[in-house]
Amino acid sequence: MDYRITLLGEKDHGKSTLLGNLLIKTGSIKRSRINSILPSSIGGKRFEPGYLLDSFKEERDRGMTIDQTSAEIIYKNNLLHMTDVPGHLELLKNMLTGASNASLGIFVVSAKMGEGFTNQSKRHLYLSNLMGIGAMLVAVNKMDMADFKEKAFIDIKKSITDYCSAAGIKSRLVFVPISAYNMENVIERAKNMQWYDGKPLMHTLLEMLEHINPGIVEQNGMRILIQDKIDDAFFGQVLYGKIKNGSDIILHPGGKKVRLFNLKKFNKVIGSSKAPSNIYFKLNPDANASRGDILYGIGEHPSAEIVFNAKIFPIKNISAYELSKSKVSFNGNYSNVAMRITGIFDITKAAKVPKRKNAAITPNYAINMAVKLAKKCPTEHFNAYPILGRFGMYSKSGILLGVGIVE
Amino acid sequence: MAAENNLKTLEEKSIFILREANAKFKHIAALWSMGKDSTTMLALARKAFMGKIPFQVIYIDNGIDFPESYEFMEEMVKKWGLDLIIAKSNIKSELSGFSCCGANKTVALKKLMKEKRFDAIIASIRRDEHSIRAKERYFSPRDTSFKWDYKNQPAELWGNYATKIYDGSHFRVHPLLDWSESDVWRYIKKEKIPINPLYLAKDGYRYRSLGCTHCTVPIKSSASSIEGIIKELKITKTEERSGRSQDKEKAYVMEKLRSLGYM
Ligand SMILES: Nc1nc2c(ncn2[C@@H]2O[C@H](COP(=O)(O)OP(=O)(O)OP(=O)(O)O)[C@@H](O)[C@H]2O)c(=O)[nH]1
Repeated sequence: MDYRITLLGEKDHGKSTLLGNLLIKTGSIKRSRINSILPSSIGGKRFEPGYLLDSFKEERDRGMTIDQTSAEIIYKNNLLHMTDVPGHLELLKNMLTGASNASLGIFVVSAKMGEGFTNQSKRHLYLSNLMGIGAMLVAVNKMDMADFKEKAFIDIKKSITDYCSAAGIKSRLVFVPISAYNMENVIERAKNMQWYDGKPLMHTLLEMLEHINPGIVEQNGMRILIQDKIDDAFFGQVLYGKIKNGSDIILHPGGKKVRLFNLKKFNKVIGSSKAPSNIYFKLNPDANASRGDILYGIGEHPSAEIVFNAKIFPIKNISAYELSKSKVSFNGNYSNVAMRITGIFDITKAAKVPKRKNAAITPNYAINMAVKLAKKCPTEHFNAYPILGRFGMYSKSGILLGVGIVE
Repeated sequence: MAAENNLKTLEEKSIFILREANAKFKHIAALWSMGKDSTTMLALARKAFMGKIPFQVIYIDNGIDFPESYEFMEEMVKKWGLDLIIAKSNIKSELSGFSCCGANKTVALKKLMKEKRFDAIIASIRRDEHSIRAKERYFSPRDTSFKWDYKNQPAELWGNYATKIYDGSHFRVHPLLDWSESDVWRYIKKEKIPINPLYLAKDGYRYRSLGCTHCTVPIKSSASSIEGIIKELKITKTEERSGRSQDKEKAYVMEKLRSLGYM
């Protein structure tokens, strides 16, 4: 299985430092790369392991991650795909790019006085849960700055669990106190936190990965998304289920029954194919099928095509009024379709929702909205078929406004 | 879990990206340097499109490539029926490193893109080559002067890649971004992909990364087979591009080159 893990958390709480030090201490990076970030090569006072990820000059000058970076860690003969993301509020778009493919998060929160569990930490936790990251390893970092005191750890743990129950976040959370800069309790047990009786971070991570569902939900249904048509043949992806060459299926939108034949993979005719797989096939009749259409098993159909309810997390402040008046677009399922927000509802108890029409929607939690697409585009409930139930909401000029899931 | 990438997973993802690029752009072409990465990319494109690569393949010829490479090119054009465009770049012999690749090749590509009106170019870069490349998107927009606005890259959520073209700009498509150097060699072995003979050791030396004759130097190696290269990579302590002229790989120079449109 292909496990993708994303770092999450407020800026400066130590994400890049943790990943940088892991790359070094697990021997997952070549010596020459480490030498290139020594203060003797690039200046600066103290050695910053985070520079292995923060490779832009500006990131180092400003002491923050601007764009996401991926890196592979080899630990105990396991290959772990890790993504470092920016913590800054303005950079949620880049955080989402990094986090959107992950099946587990390492959520870094600093125990240093004055840092702690901030609003931005909450956003990251909330958003990753919304997007389906069901398990979170909470690294309570900078324990050295809190004198390795158990109380600092317990206080943070409590504020996070309290927030999660108030916000309805059901992710599995496991807490580990660490010092990323000094690599305490990351790979080896810490000597100065005798009160902690759990396993170090990496050990806990491997245990969690064993129990994780890497995003592929077993489903009874079949879904093939049509990606392209060249001449009279189709390219597509089996997203869920299994397809047999020569079987009857249903094309949506439209609901027409067609037969799939000449099923091929890499120029070879095959008897069947199962998810996830890129395939080639023909349809009879071809029913003007085109990119963005979806093939279903007999008796199956999309949960919605034009109007549906979605939970949308805005990544910046938006006026609710403006949003309901403006043309936005739905970007998902190979389609980019004009979309209107026809209703904005108050659903969450985690924070106050603006009652007035002209009030701003803030990037703090997801809001239930009713949406209407300009043309038919098959979608699914996120809980049932996640790949077909998530989308980006863009402005007319192509700026990402938020991410949503189909309810 | 295992300590190696799963080649099937990588292959499926790359094929998806290649098909996506071909579906979304009207005038797309691929860069082929005759090196291992871009040759692997072409092999993947053959698989993605049922044996026939549907786009043109661009080779930027600065006239100083290795004779072995030119031979390899002719052989592959025939074997795979490539629709090859050779873009001549005028090399100024006093230039190397930064100015050689930064200026000459980019000038040649710019000229060609203008003539042919390509809106997307497939490039076979990999994340593990350089820490700057680790920040690339699969679909990466460039402006008219080829600049990479790396501080303001589009969001890339799941498989939904940005493709909106603003006047005169184009996209770079990166189907091999997830691959590592050893993944490429393992795939070459598995799929029996022909390779440029310069990669195999002769008289104790081989090329690990191929630029042109001016900016590439061979490494000491006894790996005279693909199997040997895979073994060598498991124990090497140096980075792949250590055989390239030093100036290009130093801190921040890569960032500057890429932001200027260098490939
Ligand atoms: N004392 C101490 N300092 C730490 C620790 N972890 C990180 N730091 C320091 O905290 C600062 C910020 O760390 P980063 O790793 O850059 O933080 P980040 O979370 O990646 O920040 P963004 O990338 O901007 O979101 C750096 O100067 C680190 O050296 C720790 O465990 N103890």
